[in-house]
Amino acid sequence: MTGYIISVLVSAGIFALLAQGLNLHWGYTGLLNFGVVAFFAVGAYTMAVLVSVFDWPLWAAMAAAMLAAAVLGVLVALPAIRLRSDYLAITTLAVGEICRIVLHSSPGVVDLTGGPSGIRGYSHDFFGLRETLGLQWMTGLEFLMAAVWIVVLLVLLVVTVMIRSPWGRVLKGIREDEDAMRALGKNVVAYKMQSFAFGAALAGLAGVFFALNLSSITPEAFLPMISIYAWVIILIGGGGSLLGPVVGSVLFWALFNATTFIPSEWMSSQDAAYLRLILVGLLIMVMVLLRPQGLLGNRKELLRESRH
Amino acid sequence: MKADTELATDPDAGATAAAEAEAFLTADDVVMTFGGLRAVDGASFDAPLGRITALIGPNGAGKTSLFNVISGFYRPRSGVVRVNGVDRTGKPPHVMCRHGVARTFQLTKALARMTVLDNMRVAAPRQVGEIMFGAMLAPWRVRAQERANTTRADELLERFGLTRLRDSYAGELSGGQRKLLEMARALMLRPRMLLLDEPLAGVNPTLGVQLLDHVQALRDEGMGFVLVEHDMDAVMRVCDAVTVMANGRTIARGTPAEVQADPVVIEAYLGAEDD
Amino acid sequence: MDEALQLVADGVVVAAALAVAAVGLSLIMSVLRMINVAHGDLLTVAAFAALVCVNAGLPLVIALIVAAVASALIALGLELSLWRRMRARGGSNFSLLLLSVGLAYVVRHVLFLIFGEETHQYAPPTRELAIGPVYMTREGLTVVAGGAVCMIGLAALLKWTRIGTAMRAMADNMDLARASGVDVARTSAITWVIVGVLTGVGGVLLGIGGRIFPNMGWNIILLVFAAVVLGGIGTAAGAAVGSLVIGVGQELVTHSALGLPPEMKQAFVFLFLVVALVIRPQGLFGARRYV
Repeated sequence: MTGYIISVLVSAGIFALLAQGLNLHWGYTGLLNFGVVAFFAVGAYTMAVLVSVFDWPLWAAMAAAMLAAAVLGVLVALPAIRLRSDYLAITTLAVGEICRIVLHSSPGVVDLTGGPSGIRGYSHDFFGLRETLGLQWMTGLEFLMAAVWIVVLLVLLVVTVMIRSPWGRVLKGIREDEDAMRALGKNVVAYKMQSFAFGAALAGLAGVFFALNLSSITPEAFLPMISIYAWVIILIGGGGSLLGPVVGSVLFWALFNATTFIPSEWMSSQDAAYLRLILVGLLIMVMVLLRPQGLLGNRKELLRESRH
Repeated sequence: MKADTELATDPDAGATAAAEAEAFLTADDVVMTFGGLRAVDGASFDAPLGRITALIGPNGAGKTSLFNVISGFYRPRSGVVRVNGVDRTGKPPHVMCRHGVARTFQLTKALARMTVLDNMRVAAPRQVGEIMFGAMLAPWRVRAQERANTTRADELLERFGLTRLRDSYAGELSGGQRKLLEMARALMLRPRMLLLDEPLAGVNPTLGVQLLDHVQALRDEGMGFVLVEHDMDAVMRVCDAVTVMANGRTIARGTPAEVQADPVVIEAYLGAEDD
Repeated sequence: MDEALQLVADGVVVAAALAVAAVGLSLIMSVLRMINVAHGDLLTVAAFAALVCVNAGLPLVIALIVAAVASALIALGLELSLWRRMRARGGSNFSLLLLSVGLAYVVRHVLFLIFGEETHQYAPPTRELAIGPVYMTREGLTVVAGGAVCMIGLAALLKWTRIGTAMRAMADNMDLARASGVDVARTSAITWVIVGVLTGVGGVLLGIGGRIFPNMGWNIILLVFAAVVLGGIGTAAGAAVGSLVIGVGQELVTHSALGLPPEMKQAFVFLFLVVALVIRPQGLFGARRYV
């Protein structure tokens, strides 16, 4: 049972960060990003490559990972941000797949990423921190859980301050009515870019912890499914609420990992995995149909008439 | 990656008083096309400060398109838009705002899921807190600005009789209240020229009179207005100058009395009614 | 040169199946303004429906008909139970899109649960035939012929039948169509039936040309989007042209002169999709339209 709780909390922490990034995009700015996995992957790989190939210290590699994800965010947003919302969704979905394929097979890139065989040996520094901090009594997983949740809370604090500041007020205004904000003298494109880059950086940070949770990462760990998980979490928690991604993520993983309790005589572990994904799909459908505002939200977020 | 909120001094400060008296906002020979359709076909127009200038014409004359060109929402195919004597053709709306030109919309754009007060405050220009991470880097400055902007917002809400709705969501307001809010919100920008797109459409007569009283009072304080409006009685009553458009061109301009007597204008309106 | 020609021939086979898949997605996008992410997985369902028939000893032609009918019924059922209800509640395009994402996950993993991960084929592949300078299999030729029949049939239906006219009217302007007497509910339902048949045939063609496995539809859904976007939404000709560009294009980038690993071909197609969306959201070959 403890094992279940810790594994839920580790995944929930990582995906709370990822979903908070998506929350900035969708919940606060109204941008339909279906490719958060791209930023997640770039964050994970940047950290892994810098630490294991170039011997960077972990903290610097982490900062670089966030920066790299933010830069990719800007590069994607630069042309795509003006697209109508459903086309933005398809474009970002494609960008996620491009990233995965490039990490998997692009000449030049695979020399660093190891292509399909992946990359390993980047997590010693992190788990070594336990000794430095005198926390040897913790298992590695417990240490990761503690670290990830400290980061989740820090990020929550930063995002809360930002969203409640005039900057966040402009983002909400853009979500409500872009043209009105343009008429009020706001450079809408610049704000969307900032939101996109910031959310991407958070996704990159999530990717770092995702990598630390695995002894090696391969491109196959970054399927579009990751983006879908983030969406389910937002749907559960409610877009445009600060705690939504955190609560949504805990609920999602508690439910998701609960399938491990299915006795193996009932169902093979492979079948249980399929069942889990059926559950994910059903969860999306049920949330959209019954509670589009999420469990925490109290406003009609999704049902508002699209202006396009 | 920088928001347009830097604290600039008024870029128009150096302009001469003579230029202002001539016309603060001018459009010269503007052409705007959609596909094959020439919505605006060589229209010229000017609006001085301290005056209410009406832009009228039969449906499909191109008023709204011209309006969108001068407020920066459309980029014209050709022609020149000047603000205070400086060419600002095709500049985006946020740049036009910075140079003192603001607008409202025919169909109001209240930010429904934000409070009336936030609708007002979000409009304040040059907020340090609107720079990314601004609230973290200079929290005390942001707080001071926020206080000042709240005071200003409250003054305007008071002036427009919206004080008791201050904390309601804008989505809960009636159509007429939204029109008032939108105008009050535009005034947060401290514009020198405000473009009003059919301010009386969908507003009950009492509220309409109130709205025009505000416009006249603000004109007397020195602001300029451009009005696209269908209500001819209102136009003739409050406007200082009228420009008439038909088929994408300006066909007449003058005082309300002159324009009303102009046979070209009468013919344009009668011709349009024949369709 | 021969290598290039062979790649073009391979690409045409891919394109033929892709076009049938693309035109269904495209019709739903234009007539009902919905992006159906589950489209790929509904293709898979059809392919498996036919597989079940073939394994039961039925000839492939019968299997194809069964798959088409089943697929049409599923499409109609979804319209009546899900999409219509969502639209009636004023659901945005986006909530429909999300709903279809959820549906895609349910459908695909139910297939995994039933059929497992293995790949299947309708019949063992036949020997390649030399046609001029290129080699094609009988299966490949079947796919090309089937694709052509579907596309021409659909183009004729859109152009000359009353339902086709009604569909085009709805695609053009929903309100205007309603005002001029188009029965929107009925036209929507019939559109789904037509798309269902196309999905059924498209899924089976994909299965004939390649292999049948639960991820087959999801794996090509972005290619299908790319084809639709390139060709312009809502026409049979557009879907055909878009599919040809995508199908032939993705084979040609594997030409040995370029020295790219074959896994990269999809990355190029997706990049193409992104660029196409950004530069010309109305489709490279679509007419510029004002809304």
